[in-house]
Amino acid sequence: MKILVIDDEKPTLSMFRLFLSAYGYEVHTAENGEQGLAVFRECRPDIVFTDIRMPGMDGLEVLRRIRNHDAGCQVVIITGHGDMARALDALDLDASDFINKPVERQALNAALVRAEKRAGRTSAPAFSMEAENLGDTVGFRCSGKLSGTEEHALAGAGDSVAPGSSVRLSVDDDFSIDRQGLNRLTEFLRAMNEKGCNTSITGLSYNYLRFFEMAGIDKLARLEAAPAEEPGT
Amino acid sequence: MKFFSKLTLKNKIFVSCLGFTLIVSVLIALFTRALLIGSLTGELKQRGVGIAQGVADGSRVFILTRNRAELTALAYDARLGNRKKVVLYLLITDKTGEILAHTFTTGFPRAFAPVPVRDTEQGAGIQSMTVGPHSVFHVSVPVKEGIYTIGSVQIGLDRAHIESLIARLRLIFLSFLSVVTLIFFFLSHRLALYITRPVTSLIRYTDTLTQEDFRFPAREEMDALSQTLGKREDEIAKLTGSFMRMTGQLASSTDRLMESQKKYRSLFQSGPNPIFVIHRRSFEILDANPKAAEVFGYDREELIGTSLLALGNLDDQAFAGEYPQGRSVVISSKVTFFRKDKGALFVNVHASPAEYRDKDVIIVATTDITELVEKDSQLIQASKMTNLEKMSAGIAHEINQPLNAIKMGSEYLVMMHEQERAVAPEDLDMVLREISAQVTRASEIVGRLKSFSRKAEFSREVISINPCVTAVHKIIGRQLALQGMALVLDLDEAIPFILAHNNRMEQVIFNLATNARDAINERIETIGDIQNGRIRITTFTDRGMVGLRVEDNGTGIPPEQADAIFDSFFTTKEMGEGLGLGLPIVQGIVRDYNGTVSVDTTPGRGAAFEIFFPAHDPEQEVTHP
Repeated sequence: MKILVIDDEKPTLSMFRLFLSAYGYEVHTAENGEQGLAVFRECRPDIVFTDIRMPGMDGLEVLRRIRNHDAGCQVVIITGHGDMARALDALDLDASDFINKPVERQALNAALVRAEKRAGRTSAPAFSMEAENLGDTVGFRCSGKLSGTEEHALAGAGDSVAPGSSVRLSVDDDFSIDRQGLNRLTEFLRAMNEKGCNTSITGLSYNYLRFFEMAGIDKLARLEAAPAEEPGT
Repeated sequence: MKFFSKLTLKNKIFVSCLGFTLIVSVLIALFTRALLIGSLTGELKQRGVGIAQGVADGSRVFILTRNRAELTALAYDARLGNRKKVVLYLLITDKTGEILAHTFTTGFPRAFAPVPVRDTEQGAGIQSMTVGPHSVFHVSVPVKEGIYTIGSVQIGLDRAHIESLIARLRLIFLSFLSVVTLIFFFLSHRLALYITRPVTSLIRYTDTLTQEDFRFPAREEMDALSQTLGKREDEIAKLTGSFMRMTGQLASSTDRLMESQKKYRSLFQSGPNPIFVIHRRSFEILDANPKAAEVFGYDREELIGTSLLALGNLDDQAFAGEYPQGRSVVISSKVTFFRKDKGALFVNVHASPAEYRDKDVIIVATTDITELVEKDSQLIQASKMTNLEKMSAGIAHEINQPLNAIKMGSEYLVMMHEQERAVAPEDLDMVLREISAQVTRASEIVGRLKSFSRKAEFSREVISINPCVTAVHKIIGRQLALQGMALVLDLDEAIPFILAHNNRMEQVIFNLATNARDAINERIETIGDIQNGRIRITTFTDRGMVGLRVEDNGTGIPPEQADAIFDSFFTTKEMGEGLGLGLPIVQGIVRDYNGTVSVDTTPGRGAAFEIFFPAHDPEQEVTHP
């Protein structure tokens, strides 16, 4: 599998190269957005890691242009720690995943595993929310991209929950979210809290978990990560 | 004349009046005498001629007939009545001069020769002569028959009669003049008194005032004065009135003077600022107020006599400048002075020249601004911290970069170790070197921030401006690059040193650079002009001054705001984004180092801030260590 890493920091590129080579990927690197796009057109990588803050063309612009060319490429945005606003911008541009700097091995692994699983899909599947009977707990299986237009699904699910019950949302690898979707989810979780429901979200990828924590979702629901997997071929 | 000028005014008036009267009297007497004697004598002669003519008319026949008896009767008739006093004698002659009749009863006086009859046309002849004891006018009138002179009538007019008349007149006249003189004597005396008495009172009043105090008018003398004047309304009264008003004015201005003296004294004594009176040339302290003693920790007695220059870092050149009339001059600001206990104070020194106990002095007012200076540096510090806070995201990003490399490198090694995989020696070498290098990089960033946020020391250092520019470039250059702005440096490597603080200079450059960045962002956001931002920092030398220019191609400053940008709390940024202290602080710091800051801007095209500092002269350091 081919991976392209775009970052203006040479040391970071070197480390990515070491890591990803050790995982057995074919690694390409670029020091800025323009160069990155050139490499992208040349070698068509399956996964792109791009720093979000770069002089000249930044990560968001790279993401936008890659999306124009190739909807199926997995673009993982490398964000600064706590840079929520940019992370949301990236989600709106349909970033596949994001990873915090300084990059932890576990985060990198999770991003790689998720990207590999989703690799090749041209477009995100529509959001679906299926009820699941888990005894005492009301369960919902969530998949696809949760955006602002999906409020009916969430609202409907919310209405069906009896006050005081336990609610568990389990998400899969296809789950993704954008800015509006995050708002909807927050509203849903608030409504659950008002009903006195005990809510948890499970199956979150490592980086989504970090992102939800950053967005304050952890105050509204208990977040559980999906079991860690090692990437590599 | 000398005698006259020594006289009192009263005597002058008196003597003048009297002298004038006397002179006029004497003149009148002389004039009248001349007039009277002349006219009286004339009158007498006329009368004599008339009598003689009358006798001549009556005697014509008798002369022809030589009737001596009739002629003698006629002669005696002529002396009848009161004429007897005038006509001393009368004689009638024929044409040969033979006396036909006469009135001499006591014999014909000797040596008396009747005047021969002159056969003239002119009539009477008069001549002065002495007959016996008498002085007479001898009048002879011819007696005519047709055109022939047949004889003459000659009479002697007694001059004693006229003389007695004149003597009587003179007596009357002299007594009249004496009376007039007496009256004038009296009047002039009164006049003199009238004029001089109020003046004398006035003099006495003035003397009393001078001896005592202007502020307490001599009541007694004033009463005496008004009594003397009574209800007079003449010049003297007016003069006195004016004088009284003047003394009144004097009294009130003396009052005011005392009041202002008191005021200044109390200002000096209880003023909140230390004030010194120093000698203009020796700078010796002649007087100091209690506040000076308090602030500098000395006794007043200890201060007096010492030189002001010994108290602080002032040199005599500071006082050498010009002092505009009545104005106080700022000699020096933020001068370090030392308390007795060696504690340092910062003071502003104002000076104004004055006279003090007949000496040329300078009044030196000092303002203790230690607290202000500290507050100032706190404010500067606070603003710096605010800047740092605003940059914190950028700084975090910056520090994240090395941390990321370190983290990934170490995690890679951990992973390889866990999986018991062999790390290629060159990879291991690279990772270890990179980790070390990145730690250095991170600590450099931290160090830079630390030095930037450090509070400046009070004493200035000899610094070069270039490292400050590079330091700022290191702090924000990358962040600017991330925002698509180029920070271009153009440094004059041969730039002279200046006296300043490194981190304050960094703050100045930093503030200007971040302002430039904001201006560029504003241009991009509001005007929609998306050409790349460029900030150029230039250092240069211009006529012995060290210059620093920060140019940008941002939005520029509208002309109507160009004057306000250095005012505190003026900001064009949105509420909560800027306090409006950036440029005022820049200006404050620059002025602290005796520098100037100015701006040249074209709205929509950019702005260029220019700062000039005096170059540090190492020679000066030697002469004034």
